[in-house]
Amino acid sequence: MAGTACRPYLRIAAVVRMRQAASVQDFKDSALVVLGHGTELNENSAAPVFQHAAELRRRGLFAEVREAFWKQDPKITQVLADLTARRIFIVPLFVSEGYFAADKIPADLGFSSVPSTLDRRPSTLFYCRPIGSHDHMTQVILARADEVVQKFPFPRRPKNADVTLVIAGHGTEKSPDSRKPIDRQVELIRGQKTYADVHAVFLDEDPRIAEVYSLAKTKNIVVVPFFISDGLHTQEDIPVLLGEAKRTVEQRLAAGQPTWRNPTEKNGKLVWYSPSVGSAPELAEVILERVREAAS
Amino acid sequence: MKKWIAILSFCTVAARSQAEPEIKGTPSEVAQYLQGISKSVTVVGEEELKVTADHANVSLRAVTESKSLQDALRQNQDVRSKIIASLKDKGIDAEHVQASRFSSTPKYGLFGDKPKSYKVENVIKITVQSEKEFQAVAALVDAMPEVRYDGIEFASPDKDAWKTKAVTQAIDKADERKRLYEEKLGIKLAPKSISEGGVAMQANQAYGFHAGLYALSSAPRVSPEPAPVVAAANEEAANDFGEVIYRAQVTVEYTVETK
Repeated sequence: MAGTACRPYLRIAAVVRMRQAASVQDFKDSALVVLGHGTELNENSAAPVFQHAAELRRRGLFAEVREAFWKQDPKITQVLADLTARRIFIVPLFVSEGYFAADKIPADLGFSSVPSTLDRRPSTLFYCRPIGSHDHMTQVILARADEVVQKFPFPRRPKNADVTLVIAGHGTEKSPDSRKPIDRQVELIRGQKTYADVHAVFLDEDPRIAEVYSLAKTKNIVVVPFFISDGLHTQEDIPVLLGEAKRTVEQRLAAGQPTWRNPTEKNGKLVWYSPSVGSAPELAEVILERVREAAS
Repeated sequence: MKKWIAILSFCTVAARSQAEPEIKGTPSEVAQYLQGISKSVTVVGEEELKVTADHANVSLRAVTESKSLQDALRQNQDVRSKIIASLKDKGIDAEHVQASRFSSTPKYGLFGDKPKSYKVENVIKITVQSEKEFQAVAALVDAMPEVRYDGIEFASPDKDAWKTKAVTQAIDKADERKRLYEEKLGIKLAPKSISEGGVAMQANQAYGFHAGLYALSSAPRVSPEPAPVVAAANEEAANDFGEVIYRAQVTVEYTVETK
């Protein structure tokens, strides 16, 4: 009796294993290129690209996993010239479908649109959509928010219902597409009704980062930077805009300390500030999702 | 029957393993447990002090140009002498007038290595103690084509004392918040680090004075650089000269200690 009852579960488990195996095999003939913007000015900006490429390499799903950049070495054009796999998936590690990820880079590489494929014998190149616009980024944001209050309770972690979640992005008035992924995430997380409220704030467009204190009606605020790298914007600009003194931020930075202390009370509100979404370990899954979408 | 007992036992064990961990023990054991969890809070204390300005430093720029450097320098000297004389007539002592920066720039034509002319600039700082004195300075800009308005900085007496006071009160405010947390949450907060964000000074000019400055800064011969201190007019200001605002910020990090 017990044996027959278990059989359907065993069968499902076997199917799942087969599918996993099939998906693993599917990419054994493929190369994955994790593409970042990169800059020669800040060596930390490349870190998330190396981090996720290393993790995906460790999983052994692809014949090859490479890091590539637009503005620093190894350049994407160099990397693509070296690869000979049957399929080459290029996943832009960008937060939005803005000028670089959705226009400049694909156009310069010869892609007609995003996503699209390019026949370059013996390989077929797949230019995937940037990771930032994937709906799974919701999990990444929520994990970041949860992690920071869990790690720094005061004196115990606040209930989500007493917290306003704020997603901080770059934004630019030059490109309306830049803020779209953040607005989408605000909509998705608001729909879950787990937080008291959810807001988007930006460096270069309204509402601005400094407005968090007037936007949030709760005493507790968790700010998650929707950036790929923990660079100048997230380490210096946002903490200053959140109200920490520039001099204090610079002193902490020089001492190799986090530039924001969790939580910090300012204007009568407790503010937790998480690391960028770009270095979240969950992002490796989002990269794989983008590959699966392109392959299907 | 044995099967049911086994299922029930399994469910009980599973339920227990899913439950939240319970903290038991003596108060000192609980305190020891809590010590292992790093808990801290950082409080930003801020203070803003508005102080009546008792004087202002007005910067004027004397600009002269001539084919010869010596002539440009002499003309500049004449302009400065006229400024001092004019101000003296209006009750501003020469000791309140100081030449602070000097520069000379050769100007070259399209052809040739020899300068076509020389431009000499001298920044003069005048300390004024009332609107009347400021108007006297403003009149020079209107009367002398070589004189340009550069900017104004309000100042208060005992600048350092006010800065210290602002910082002290910012610390007091952080301490006030600390005591509030201790009282409301039943915890003890011990200061771990303090970081002084610096004191920012801003000058606010009163309404009547602002109007004068506005007229001056819109004059056609005003320097293209904007006046550095032109804050929002404050019609409710008690005095007609201006005020200096000292803003201090301190960041105090506290660790939570069990009582």
